[in-house]
Amino acid sequence: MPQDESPPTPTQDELLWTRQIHGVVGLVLAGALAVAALIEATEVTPARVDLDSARAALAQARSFAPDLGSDRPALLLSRGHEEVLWHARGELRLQPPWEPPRADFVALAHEPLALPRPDSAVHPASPLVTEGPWVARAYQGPSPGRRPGARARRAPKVALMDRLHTARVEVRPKKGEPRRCAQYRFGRWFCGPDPWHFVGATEMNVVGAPARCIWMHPHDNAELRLTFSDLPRERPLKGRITFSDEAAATSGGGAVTFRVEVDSEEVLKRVHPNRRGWSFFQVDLSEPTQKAPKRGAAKDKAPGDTKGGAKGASRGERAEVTFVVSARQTGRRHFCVTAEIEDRAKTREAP
Amino acid sequence: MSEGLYTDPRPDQPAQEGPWARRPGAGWVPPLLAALTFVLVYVVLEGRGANTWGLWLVEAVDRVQPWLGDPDMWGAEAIERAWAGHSALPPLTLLATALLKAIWPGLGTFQAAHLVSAVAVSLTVPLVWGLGRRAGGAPAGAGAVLAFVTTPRVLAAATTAGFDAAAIFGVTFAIYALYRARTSALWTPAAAVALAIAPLTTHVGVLLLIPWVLLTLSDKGQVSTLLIERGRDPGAPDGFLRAASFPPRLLITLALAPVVMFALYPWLWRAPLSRLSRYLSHFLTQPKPPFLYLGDLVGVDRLPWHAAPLLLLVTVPVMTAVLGVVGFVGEMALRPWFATRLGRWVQRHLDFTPDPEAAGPEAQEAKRWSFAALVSLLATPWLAGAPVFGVVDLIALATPFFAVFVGCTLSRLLSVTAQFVTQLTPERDRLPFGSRLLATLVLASFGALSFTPSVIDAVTAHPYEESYYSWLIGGTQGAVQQGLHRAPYAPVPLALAYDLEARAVEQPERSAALVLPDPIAQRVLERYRAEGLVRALPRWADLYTADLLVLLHDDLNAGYYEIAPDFAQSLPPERTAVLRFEQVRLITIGVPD
Repeated sequence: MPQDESPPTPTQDELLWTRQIHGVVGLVLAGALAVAALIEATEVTPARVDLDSARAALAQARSFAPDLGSDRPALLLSRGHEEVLWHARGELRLQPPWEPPRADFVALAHEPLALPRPDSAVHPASPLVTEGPWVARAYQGPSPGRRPGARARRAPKVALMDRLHTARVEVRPKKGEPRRCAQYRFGRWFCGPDPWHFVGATEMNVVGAPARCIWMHPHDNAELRLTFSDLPRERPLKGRITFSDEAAATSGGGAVTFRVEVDSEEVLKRVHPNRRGWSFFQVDLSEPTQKAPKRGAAKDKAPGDTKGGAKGASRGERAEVTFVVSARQTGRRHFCVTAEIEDRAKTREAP
Repeated sequence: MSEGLYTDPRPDQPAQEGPWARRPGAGWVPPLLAALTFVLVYVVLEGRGANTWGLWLVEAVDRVQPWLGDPDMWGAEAIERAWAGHSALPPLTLLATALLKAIWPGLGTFQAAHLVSAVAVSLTVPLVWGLGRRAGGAPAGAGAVLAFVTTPRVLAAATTAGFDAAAIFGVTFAIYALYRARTSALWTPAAAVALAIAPLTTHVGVLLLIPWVLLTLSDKGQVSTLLIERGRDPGAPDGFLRAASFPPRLLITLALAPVVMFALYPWLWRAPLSRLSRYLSHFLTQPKPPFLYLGDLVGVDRLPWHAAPLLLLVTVPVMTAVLGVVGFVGEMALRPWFATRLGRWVQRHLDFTPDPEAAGPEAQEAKRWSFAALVSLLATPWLAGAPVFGVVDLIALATPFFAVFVGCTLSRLLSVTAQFVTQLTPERDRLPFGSRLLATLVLASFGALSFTPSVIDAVTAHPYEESYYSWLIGGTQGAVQQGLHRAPYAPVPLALAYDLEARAVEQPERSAALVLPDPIAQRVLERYRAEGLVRALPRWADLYTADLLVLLHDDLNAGYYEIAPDFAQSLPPERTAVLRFEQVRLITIGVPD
C-alpha cells in the first residue's frame, strides 16, 4: 500500500502559532519598508569641505616622517570625498584607482580602510593620524638596502616634473625680445602660438612603452628655456631626453639640441639625433670648479655631446638649472625631458 | 490541506481561479500601462541627449532617412549607400527612427530617437506585466511593472537617443513570445517575428536561442510531445498545447524567423550569410570599451562573473534589489527545497500562497523562463568582457526579468499582509465590508510604501540616471569611493549645452575648450546646435587660450587624475561652476583669469 505523503492538517495551536509568526513578519517588513522610505526621502546634506582638518592631518603625518621630504606628494585616496581636492589649490594629488601608489607619499583618506596596506611596494613611515573626519599616514617605498619598516637614511629624489609649477619658461628668438610663457594651466606652461607649444607633463610612447616626461617641443628660430631655481646643490642632477616613437619614425626628422645651464653657465650640450629611445645625462651641481668636467658629470657621455661636465657652482647653497631646447627643423619634434636630483651616496656607488 | 508557500497544485489538478485572476476588462490593463509609461518617459521626463552611441545613431539615421524617400530605394546601389557605412549597428532602431522622421518631417533626429526609445520602453511594459502576471498573479504583474519603470537604467534608456531601449524591447518580446508560443497557436508567428527582431535590436539577441533550446529540451511536456506523441501529453501542465501540436509550431518558428530577419534588414539582401556573419561578429573584433570595476580598469581582461549581478543590484533602488533577490532565491531555490523532508516541515509554518493561479504550472514556467533569461543576460557581460556590447547596455537588458521576481515577492508579501489583516480567515470574501476595506487599504498602502523609495530614487536620479547607485553601496559617493565609474557611458548632458548656450549668448566672443580632449563630446554638442536644441555655443579653442574650460569628470581617463589637481590649482572654486549628482562632481566649468 502506498503511503499518503500529504502533510497532516495543522492543529489549532499550530495555526495560532503561525498567525503570530505572520503578524511579527508583517510588522517587521512594514517597519523595514517605512525606514527605507524615510531614508530614501531624506535629503542628504552636502558634507562640509573640511580642508583645515585635512591640512592638519597631512602636516602631522609629515612631522612623524621627517626623512620623507616636504616635497613628497599628498595623495587623496578617498575618491568619494574628492571635493576637498577642488579647494586645496593643488596641494593634493589623485591616484588612479587601478594604480596603487608607490614610492614616498603621504596618504589622506576618510577612513583607515582606504589607506594602502603595507606590502613590498610601500610601508608606513608614520603612525595613523586622525584629524576631524580625516586620517593620514606617511608611506615610503622600497629602496635598495632599506628594510621594510626601517627609517630611511638617504634623502629622497626630487623630480623636477613635480616642481614644474614653480619653474620659469621662456622663448628666446634669435631675433627680437625674449618672451615669457606666463600662462600656466593644468600642469603646463603655454607659450603658443600653436597648441603644441607648451612645456609640461605629458605621456608619450618611447620604445613602445608609455612614458611620462616634460614636453619641450622646439620653436622655430628660437630657444625654449625651462628654468628651475632653488634646487639643492649638494646632489647631482640626472635625466633623460628622447623623441616620441612617432616623431622618431619621421623620415628626415631633424636633430634637437639640448643644453643644460647651471646658474646661467652652460654645463652640458647634447645633439639628440632623430632616433628612438632615451639618451641619459647627468650634471653634478655640487662641484665648485669652474671648467673641468668632474666626477659624475656627463659620465654617460653620448656621441652627440660637444660639451660636458659640471661647471663651478659654489655660488650659494641653492642652484638654478635651465634646460634649453632648439632645433633647425621643428616639424614633428616631440621632444621630452625627465630629470631628478639624486642623492650623492647613490651616485658614488654607481658603477 | 492548505496550500503552502511556493506550493504547486499537483500536475493533474486544474489551475484554480484565484482572487486576482483575470477579471472582465482586464485586457485594458496592458495598453493602459503602456500609455501611462509613455506619458511618464516622454512627456514628464525630458530627453537627456546622446552619448557616443547615440551620436552614431543620429549620424546613421542621416543616411538611412534619405533612402526611405529614394525612388530607387530597392536598388543595390541605394541600399549600399544607405546601410553600408554603419552596417554593424542594430538596424531596426535606425529604421524606426528614420521612419519616424519621414512620417513627421518637423521632428529632429534626436527627438525622433528619443521618441523611439520612449515607445520601445512603453511597449516593453505590457510584456513585463504579462510575464509578471503569469508568474504570480496581478499583484506580481503590477509589482514587476513598478520595479521596471522605477529602475534608473530603464529610464536612462527611455529618455536617451540610443540603442538600449529598443534592445530591451527586442529581448523581452522574444522571451515573452517564445514563452507564450508554448501554449498558443496565435503566438507562434509572433514568436518567429520576435526571434527575428531580437538580433536586429541587439547583437546579443542571437544568444537567446540558447536558453530557448535549453528551456524547450527541459520542458517535460514539450519534449515528450515532440518525441513520443503528437498532441496533448497527459502529464503535461494544465492548458498545455491547447490548440495545436508542438512540432509544427516549432518548425513554423524556426522557418519564419530567418525570413523575417532578412526581410527587415535590407543590407542582408545581398550576400546574406556572409553579411549576417559580419553584422553579428563585428563588435567581437573591436576593442571593448574599458570599464572601471571596483578599482580595477577592465580593458583587455574579462569582466569578473560577479560584476553583472553586482552592478544590477547596486544600480536598482534598494527595495527592488531586496525584493528581487528574495524572489529569485525563493522561487528558484527555496521552492524545490520545500519538496524535501525538512522543507515540508518548514513549509507547514509558512502556509501562505498568494494566488492558486500563480502557483500553478504556468506560473512555474513563467518563472523558469524569467530565470533563464535573467541568468543568460547576466552572463553576457562576462562573455563579452564588458557591461556594454554592440552599443547596448547589457545590464539594462536583464532588468525586465529581474522585475518579474520583484513582482513575485511583492505578491507573496501582499498575501502575508492580507492574511495578517484578515486573521487567516479562509472565507475572505465573506468578511464584513469594513474588514475588507481595511484589508484593501492596508494592502494598497503596503504596495505603495514598497515602491515609494524607488519612485523617489527614480525621480531624483533624472536626468543623471547613469550616475545613480543605491545606498546598498553608499550612493554615488560610495560607488566612486569603491572604484566604480561615476557616470558610465552617460550622454553629454543637455544641461551642459544649455549652460554653454547661455554663456555664448551673453558673450558671443567667448571661446571654450574641453580640458580632457573628447572629440565625441564636442561633436555631440555641435549636433545639439545643428538640431536646434541650443541656439548657440561658444567657439572651440585650445586649452590655453579658451575663455571657458569644461572638465568632464571621467574616472576612466588616466589624464583626469593628472589634470584634476592642476585644474584645482589653476582655478579657484569661486571661478568655477559645478554640476553635481549626490555630492559627486560630474562637470566643472572654469572661467580662467
